[in-house]
Amino acid sequence: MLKIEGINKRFGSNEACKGINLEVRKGECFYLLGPSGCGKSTLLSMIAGHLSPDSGDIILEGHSLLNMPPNKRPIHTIFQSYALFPHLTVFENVAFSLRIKGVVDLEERVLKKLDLVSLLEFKDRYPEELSGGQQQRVAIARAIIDEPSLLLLDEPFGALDTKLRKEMQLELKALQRSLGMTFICVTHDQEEALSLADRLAVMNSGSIEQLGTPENVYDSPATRFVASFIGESNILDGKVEGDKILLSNSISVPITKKFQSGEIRGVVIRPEWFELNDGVSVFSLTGEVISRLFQGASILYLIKTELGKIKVLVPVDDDLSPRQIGDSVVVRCTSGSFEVV
Amino acid sequence: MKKIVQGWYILFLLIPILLVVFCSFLTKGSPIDFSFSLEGYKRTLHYGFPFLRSLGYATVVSFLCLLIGFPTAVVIVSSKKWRAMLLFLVILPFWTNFLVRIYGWKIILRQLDLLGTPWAVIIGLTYIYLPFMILPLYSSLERFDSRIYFAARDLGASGLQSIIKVVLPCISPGVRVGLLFVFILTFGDFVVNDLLGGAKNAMIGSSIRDAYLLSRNWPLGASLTVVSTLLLLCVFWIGRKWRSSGT
Repeated sequence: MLKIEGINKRFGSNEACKGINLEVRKGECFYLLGPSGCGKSTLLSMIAGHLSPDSGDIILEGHSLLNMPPNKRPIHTIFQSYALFPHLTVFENVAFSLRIKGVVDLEERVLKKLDLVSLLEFKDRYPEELSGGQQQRVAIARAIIDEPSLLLLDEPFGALDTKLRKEMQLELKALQRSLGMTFICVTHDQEEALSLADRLAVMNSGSIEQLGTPENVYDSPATRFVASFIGESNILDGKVEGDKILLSNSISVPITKKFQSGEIRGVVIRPEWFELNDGVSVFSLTGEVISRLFQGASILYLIKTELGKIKVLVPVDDDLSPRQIGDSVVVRCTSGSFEVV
Repeated sequence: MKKIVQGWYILFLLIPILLVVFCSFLTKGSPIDFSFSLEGYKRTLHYGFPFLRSLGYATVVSFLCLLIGFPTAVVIVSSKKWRAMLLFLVILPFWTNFLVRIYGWKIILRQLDLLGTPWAVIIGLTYIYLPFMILPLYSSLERFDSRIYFAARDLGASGLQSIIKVVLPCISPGVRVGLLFVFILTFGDFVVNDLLGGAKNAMIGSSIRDAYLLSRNWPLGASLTVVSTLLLLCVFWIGRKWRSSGT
């Protein structure tokens, strides 16, 4: 539906986007995820039309958007902190784009959308009289009033507290499904991206590091950056030798990817991929529990081993005899439960 | 603190105004006789053109200043690096005497063959009072979240529509203060008109000055002043009506 082809954008000496290519499918919730300054917001501004790329093309349903000003693009944005019009009531905020288009018979349409976001009773209020969650609902209603084919969301939940954030995430996701709209969201919150995205692109310093489903990105991170940015992970460095990586003199891990011998690469192991019991393993380490965090359904151990401190997450059910600080344990890495980056 | 403020108002606002109002009902003498007369007000009826000229110039110049001042203020606010320098440039002309600058314009306008025309007065007044528009607009725009403008663009409004329907209403305190400053100052100005427009087409400011200083007719000067003030109040009342019906 939306194709981004070789987009470059530079601000002075800072390359905000370096040759970005991606395709967003119709009806999906696509996330651009990355730390601040990675170029994700710049990319979003270029899709909306507030910035134009130095080179490359943005194609929506077969037509290039580049020579189209933002007001002509069939795309709306939900801005960070919402950018509601402070001098207009909730009703007029939502009616804005219809009024611009010169739609006369708009009352019913506006009320319908206000009802959809359960704000009917607040229609005569001004934005400053609303709570953060209500303001976001206004922003949503305003952006979907003329049912754009594509909705852009810039850090949509950034201004909400944790509890409200979860609620609004579920609500927005349900809305996206029921309206069948395509969403492109920008966030630095990896938890949000993992839980809401159908697919996501992880960005770092102007490039896409990995593109895939949340499961895919979490389970097989393509780069060291992705491994450390998304979720918790242990990254153990080693030197490549043939089809193995040497983590120490006695510990090695087989690799399937092609790397140059002599390169330093990282073996990524998520804390929950380790086992704390006996059995077959690719390698195992003996260590001492130095810290222990109870997290409800699981326990996170910090274990000091010959390869440094390692985080291990064990579900409470599996952990028949919880380890105590100072206990000596064997940490087991099983085959298939690691990724080399 | 409240007492000081009240005292301040009484001393510097209320007493002078009452003195002028009082004086406007007296009889011309040397300079005044303390006997009641409406002669001053009767004679203000002959000053229709200066009043109209002042109102007209003030209206045109206020909107011209807004038209030029708004983009200028936008440029200043959006240039992070040069902001202080640009603001300094806006204030810089105040460092040169007013008369010297107007004489400078006299030379330019003579070259353009505009001297003595209403255009010359409008140009001169706009030039002199522009900073009084730029500065309040700047301070309002500085606090304006530019995403609100982008939101309007995003929702289908053209650049101009976004400015008129969204940006100006959002920074209306600055717009109002700027219009107020420029309108009041232009309305009362007499130097620019005398020097660039020629003295025969007087603005009300010059008429008041002439009444007090040339013909020594204090009651007339005071009457003209009172009527000017009432006219200005009327204008602001209409402005307020217009604003509250607009939103």
